[in-house]
Amino acid sequence: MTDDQLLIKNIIDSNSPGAYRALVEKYERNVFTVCIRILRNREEAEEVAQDVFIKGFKSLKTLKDHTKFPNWILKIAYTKAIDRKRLKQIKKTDISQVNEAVYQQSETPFVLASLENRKELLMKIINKLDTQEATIISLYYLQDRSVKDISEITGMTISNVKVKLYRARNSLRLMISKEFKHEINDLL
Amino acid sequence: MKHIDSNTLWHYLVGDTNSDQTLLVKKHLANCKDCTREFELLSQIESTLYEVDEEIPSLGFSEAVTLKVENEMTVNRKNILSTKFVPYMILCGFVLAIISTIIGSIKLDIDFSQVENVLNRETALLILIASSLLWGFFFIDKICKKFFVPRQYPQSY
Repeated sequence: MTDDQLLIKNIIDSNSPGAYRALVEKYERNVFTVCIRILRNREEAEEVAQDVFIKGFKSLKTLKDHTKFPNWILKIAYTKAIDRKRLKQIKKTDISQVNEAVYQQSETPFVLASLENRKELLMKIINKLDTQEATIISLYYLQDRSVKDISEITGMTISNVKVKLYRARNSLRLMISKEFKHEINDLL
Repeated sequence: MKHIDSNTLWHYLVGDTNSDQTLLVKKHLANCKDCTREFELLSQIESTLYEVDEEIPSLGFSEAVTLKVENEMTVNRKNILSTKFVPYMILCGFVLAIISTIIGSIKLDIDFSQVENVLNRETALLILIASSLLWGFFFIDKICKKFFVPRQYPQSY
């Protein structure tokens, strides 16, 4: 039995929010990352993430396969965040706005920049991506989810996830080119 | 020389190319400096993406969730004690009172024919209703304690 299975069994048996807290602590980052990628607002993302976990607690008994908890809770997060976004009708960020990003005048090519700088830049560029692409990138790279997992979480087909993943990678590449203008080469 | 497009390089990088394409890309990369540079950049992006940290919610997030869950439980508990549940409560209590009387007469060997001499019918009915209510409250309270336990957390979010 995995840690998650034991935790969930304990929560269901005791019906105690205290026991649920351990599970919240384990997955709060994953859930919050998905929410913030879609909503682009910390306060709103936290609010939605809290609702996600409350719904998770209420519906935990309906989860048949306890090993699927991560995908299940992320699916709730994805759905809730998308619903909230639709409700608020947040304007989509245009890729052309990326020039306003953090690294305005960088002299160092991306490949030569320090890991911390590269991480920071990529994090900010991810936030400029289309919300679906940003979510897929976060799930795939930051949370190590497989394409199949992402398909389950987002409700997209596997091939659709793959296409969006490639699009997101290309968008990242383009945005980095804009940031490091001297790296633009004839290939693009 | 015709260069390889970024998309194909991405496919090659993540191992999503067939053997022919792989061979073609490998050969090309061996002879093309521009494509090699592009491939290095894509590799760098790919490896850095794995290093990017997840977003962290505010301190006390899990505590806030726990508190909210408990608050909801308290509300549910209040709801269960609302007037609409009283008839069910009395019914449960009534059934339990009868069952306990039967069990009591069997297990403790009490002769209830003696009781008839002491109590009249109205008093007996009154006692039955009172015990039904007591049982009812006891029963519902047990359910509430089992499923809706409110607990206070000292630190607020």
